[in-house]
Amino acid sequence: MLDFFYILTKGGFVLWCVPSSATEFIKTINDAIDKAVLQGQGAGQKWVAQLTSHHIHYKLDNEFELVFVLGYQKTLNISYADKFLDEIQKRFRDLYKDDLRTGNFTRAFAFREVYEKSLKETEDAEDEMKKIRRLPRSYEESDKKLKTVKIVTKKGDKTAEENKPKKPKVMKSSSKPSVASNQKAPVLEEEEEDDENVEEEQDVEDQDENNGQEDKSDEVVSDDAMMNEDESNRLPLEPVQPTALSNMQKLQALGKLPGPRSKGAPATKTPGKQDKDKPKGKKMAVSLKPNISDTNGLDYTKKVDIKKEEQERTTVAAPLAARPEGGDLKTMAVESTGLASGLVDGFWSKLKKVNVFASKTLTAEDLRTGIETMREHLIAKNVAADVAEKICESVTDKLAGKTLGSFESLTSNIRQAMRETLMMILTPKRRIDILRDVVDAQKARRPYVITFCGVNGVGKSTNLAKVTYWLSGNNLRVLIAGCDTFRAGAIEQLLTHVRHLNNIFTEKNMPMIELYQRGYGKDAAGIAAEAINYAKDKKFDVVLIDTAGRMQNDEPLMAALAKLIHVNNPDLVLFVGEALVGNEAVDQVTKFNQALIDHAGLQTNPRVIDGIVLTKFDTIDDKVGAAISMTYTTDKPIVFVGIGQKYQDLKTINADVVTEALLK
Amino acid sequence: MDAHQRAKLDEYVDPEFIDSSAGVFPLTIIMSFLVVFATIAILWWAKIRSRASRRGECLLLCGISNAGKTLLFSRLTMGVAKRTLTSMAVNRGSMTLENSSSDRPAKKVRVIDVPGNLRIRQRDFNSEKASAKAIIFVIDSTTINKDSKDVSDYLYDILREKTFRQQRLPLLIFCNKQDLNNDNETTQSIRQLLENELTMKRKTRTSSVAVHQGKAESADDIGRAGKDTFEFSDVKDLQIEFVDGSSLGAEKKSYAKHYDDIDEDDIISTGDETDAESGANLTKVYDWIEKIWIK
Repeated sequence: MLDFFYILTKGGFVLWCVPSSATEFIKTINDAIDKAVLQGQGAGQKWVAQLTSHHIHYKLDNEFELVFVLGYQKTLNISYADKFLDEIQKRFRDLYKDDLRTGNFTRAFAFREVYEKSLKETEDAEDEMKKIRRLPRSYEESDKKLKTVKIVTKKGDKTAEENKPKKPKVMKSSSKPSVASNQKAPVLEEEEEDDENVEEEQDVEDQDENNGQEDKSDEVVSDDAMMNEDESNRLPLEPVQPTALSNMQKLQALGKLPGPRSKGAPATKTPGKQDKDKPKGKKMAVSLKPNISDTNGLDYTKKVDIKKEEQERTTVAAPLAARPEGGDLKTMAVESTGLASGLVDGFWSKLKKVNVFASKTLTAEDLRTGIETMREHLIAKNVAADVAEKICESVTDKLAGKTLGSFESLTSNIRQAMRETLMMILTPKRRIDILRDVVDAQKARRPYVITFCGVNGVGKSTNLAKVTYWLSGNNLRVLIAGCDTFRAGAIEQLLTHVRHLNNIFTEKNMPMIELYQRGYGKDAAGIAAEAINYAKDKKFDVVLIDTAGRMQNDEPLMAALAKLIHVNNPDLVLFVGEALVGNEAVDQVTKFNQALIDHAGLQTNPRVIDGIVLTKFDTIDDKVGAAISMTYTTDKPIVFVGIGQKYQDLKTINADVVTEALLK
Repeated sequence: MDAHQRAKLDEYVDPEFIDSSAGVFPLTIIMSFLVVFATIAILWWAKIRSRASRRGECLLLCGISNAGKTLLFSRLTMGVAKRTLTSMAVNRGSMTLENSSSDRPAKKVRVIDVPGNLRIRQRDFNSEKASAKAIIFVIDSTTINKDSKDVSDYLYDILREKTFRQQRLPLLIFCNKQDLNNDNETTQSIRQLLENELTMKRKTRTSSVAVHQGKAESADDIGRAGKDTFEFSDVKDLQIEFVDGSSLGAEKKSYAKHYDDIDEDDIISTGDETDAESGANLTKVYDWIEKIWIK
């Protein structure tokens, strides 16, 4: 069922493989190694090879510098792949530990029998599992049972769980925004100290508030009562009741339910069972607490041993009202530098943990806090959230199982691994050398065509002018095709640029730069085709096509762009993106790529984005994360960087500087 | 008189007492400083020595992906041709040069194989280039036409490297995989191809867009300054040689004697050893290495 299984060293030597003589998978594996391991794109140590319809799973062994790779056809569904990898890794290491340590790779590894045995065992275990799983789960085991309590805690948010004592307050203030929350701020702070007195304080405060809030506390309390009753009446055949409750709880927690709260008529929204609880009011809540047996969410006493660091540092994900400063910007500003200095604090506290005199093997647990910090740091530097997540995963893979030498600290290792990963992401797979390719095109007697595309307002026309300036400075004749037939003044803008540049480059008799335009409202793809033909006739060296800005989710416009690109088949498709964009960057490039592939028509090899132009780089100081987001998503290099609004402000990216800025 | 004398004696005694005790104290301080300095000096000297000993002896294997560097590495250091895939880390090993002519002891040559993948090549090459005494640049003769741009890119970086030019580094351009097809490029045509590419590379590199916040690189031009085309014979700072051959050639010279305890059966049974018996082999490479290391 498995097509191949390779055990190789990180240096590239194949220690053992099955099938032992086939060479047809080598290309697939090489490709997978390049993308997945080096660039860090293999999410969760898996990879789907695009070209040859294989699923590839791999596992890095950082202690002995080995890689375990297996692959099977996409059409199969082999669920034991990861487990099998772990199993084989263990067995191989145990058998050949000494040889691996000394680096004796020339010996023969007679691993076939062990492999076959392992494979059989894993397959049998998998069949067994499948048989067992046929019975449906009982209510006890289902997730729904846990959900009834967890929903109340704001979708299982960790920091909200810590701040459980404030939960009633939280729900109250979240429904009455800004005005109430400021008043609540001092109260919230008081509450942190004393769990027991939560309800009492609540009582005291409520006497000062208006009716609505008092009723809300009733609601909260009675909801607790409701929940408790449900718990005590736990029957497996009543799934309906808990779900109704959980939805209600959810809505109340989010404060979305209007009206009835302020009117103070609880009976209208919760089932009638509640009425008899209402008169008991707040006192009920206090006495309820000890009775709740296994509702994890309502247990306030357990959370004392959460790691100190997490309590000291408020994460960005915490709900606004739950933060101690209660939304006060000033204290939040102080807190954010705390994030950066948290890296230093983390260093010292970790140094205490690290065993300085003996070597230590890193486990995922050790890495977790440091990597978390790194991830938040990256997000603070404007890297898109999922990209930061994936980068941190790949760094964890790289470091897990590595042996720390003595006097090596955890933080320095993490930083080093992070630096390497970021450098590898920013280093292109293929260097794009435009001048060299223009020479090739000149030999073939056709112009070199570059297309600029992107969303509205990123600087396509400006950067097109900068590229024209650069090319003209290298004695190349440039034709600009005005395919932005939509925006008012687009053609005039390009005309002005052409005039300026021709004034600068006046050596030759014929003008170096020309604009090919057909006015507004026409079909862009047609204009581009005509421009290319014109350039071929008049022997222009380069054609730059300027397109209209368009949002990535605008279907008809994306279809029009795809048509322009596939009809004219430019040599280089450049996506222009601004450095200010954050999480949007991932969405933009993904949707642009996807649209180009979808609307490719009958072509077997659809064109996609070939390179990225990162503009407005001078406006961000060191929040350079957009560069990482874009290159990570598309796997294509950043060809140009725009650092200003003059013609000379065009550079290429400096990977060292960007990496250092990200890690600062 | 007595009291006066005694007082005087006291006076007399006291300073001595103070002096002697004070004399002991600075002495210990000086001793301890000396010990510390001596330790630091010894450690530093040992470190310098080890670094220097690494410096003069390393043979670097460079080239783009799939050129055959790791295979060449295994042939040189282990004497067997192991099956290889893309390297993602540096390979370090050593080979023993047996001096058949004189009675000098066999010289050990450290070999470093730098991965060709563009993403990691930069960082690995930069960290290893300080310890290079000679470089073998491996080229895949069968795909050189397609890859000429990438190959010339890499070669350009090597030719421009200041430290190499200062030490007049020997550079062997090894046209590998001569055994695969019959109509692949000969050494002469590869040389010509690279010269053309490098001519163009000189122009395009200097006129390309500058690196943002990059170090002001001095335009160290390769080849002769005034001449338009680039020729390898113009490069005076490096000793460049072209050879062809094949890493897969089956000849095992005496360099691998210390690995002879491997059973022939063992290797063949796992299917690792590829037994190509065609003529192309590594003799020229071995000769070149000998020439450099055994002067």
